[in-house]
Amino acid sequence: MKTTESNSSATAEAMGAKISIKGPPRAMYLVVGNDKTDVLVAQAGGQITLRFTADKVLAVLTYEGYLSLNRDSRIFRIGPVNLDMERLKRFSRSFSQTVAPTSGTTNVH
Amino acid sequence: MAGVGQELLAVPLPEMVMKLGLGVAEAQRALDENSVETASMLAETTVPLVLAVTQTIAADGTVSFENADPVDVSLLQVGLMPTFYQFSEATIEVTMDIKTTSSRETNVKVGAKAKVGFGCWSASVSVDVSHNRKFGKTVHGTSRLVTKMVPVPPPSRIAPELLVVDNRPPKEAPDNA
Repeated sequence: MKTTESNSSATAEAMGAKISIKGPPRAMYLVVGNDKTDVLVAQAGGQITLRFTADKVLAVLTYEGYLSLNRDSRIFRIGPVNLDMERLKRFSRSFSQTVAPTSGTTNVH
Repeated sequence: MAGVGQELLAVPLPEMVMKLGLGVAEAQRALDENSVETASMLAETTVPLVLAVTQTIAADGTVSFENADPVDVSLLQVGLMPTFYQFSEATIEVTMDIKTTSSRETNVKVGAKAKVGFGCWSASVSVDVSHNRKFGKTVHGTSRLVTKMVPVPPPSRIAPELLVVDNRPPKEAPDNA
């Protein structure tokens, strides 16, 4: 965990308060922005793991990167996501059975 | 003069606790809203996935691969879930430093008068003492609010359950005859 100093709140500034946030070192986020989302992610020090459209990507970001993108008006939405491996396995198993080739062949996992 | 205990009682602790509670509730609602909106976007975003690959080994030993038709699936279906956070702990620390001072000021005025005449004299001395006591009080206070959030599993009904209805005819048993 890394501590990030933030003083963006108007209330905090009015009261002279310090706000420290400890976040996870790196995490995966769904980022929806404009057609330069990948550039914005790169500027925030993030790595794009999957690009769905020009404005929607899956990116790995540090917590500081997430905070900076969260404040960026060009980013429409950013939210933390995680991969549920158990669900992915169930889905793959179920679908591979559904679309499995016809008899006479063997499924190899 | 108010005592230290009275000073501590004067700290608006109930108000602080109430505001912290309301702040946590408001923040929790915002976090949940963000996670639900993220879930909505994950459900709306589809990707074409090839879910089966057929490897065919021909009689002459050559190997070929054939992909099944890609299927559009949502990110939520494949297990990409929004991360939900929950406030697990909230702490208020109030530190007060109270310093009281008292000082005593004493003023003394001394006056003397003397008269001398023919064969007689007179003298008088007057002393005027006044005491003045002053009290001073300095109060320094700091407060610290700490909240802790932990990731929690998403609500069980956030993602649709996948039901498979397979209407293919059952495979025939191999003929051993």
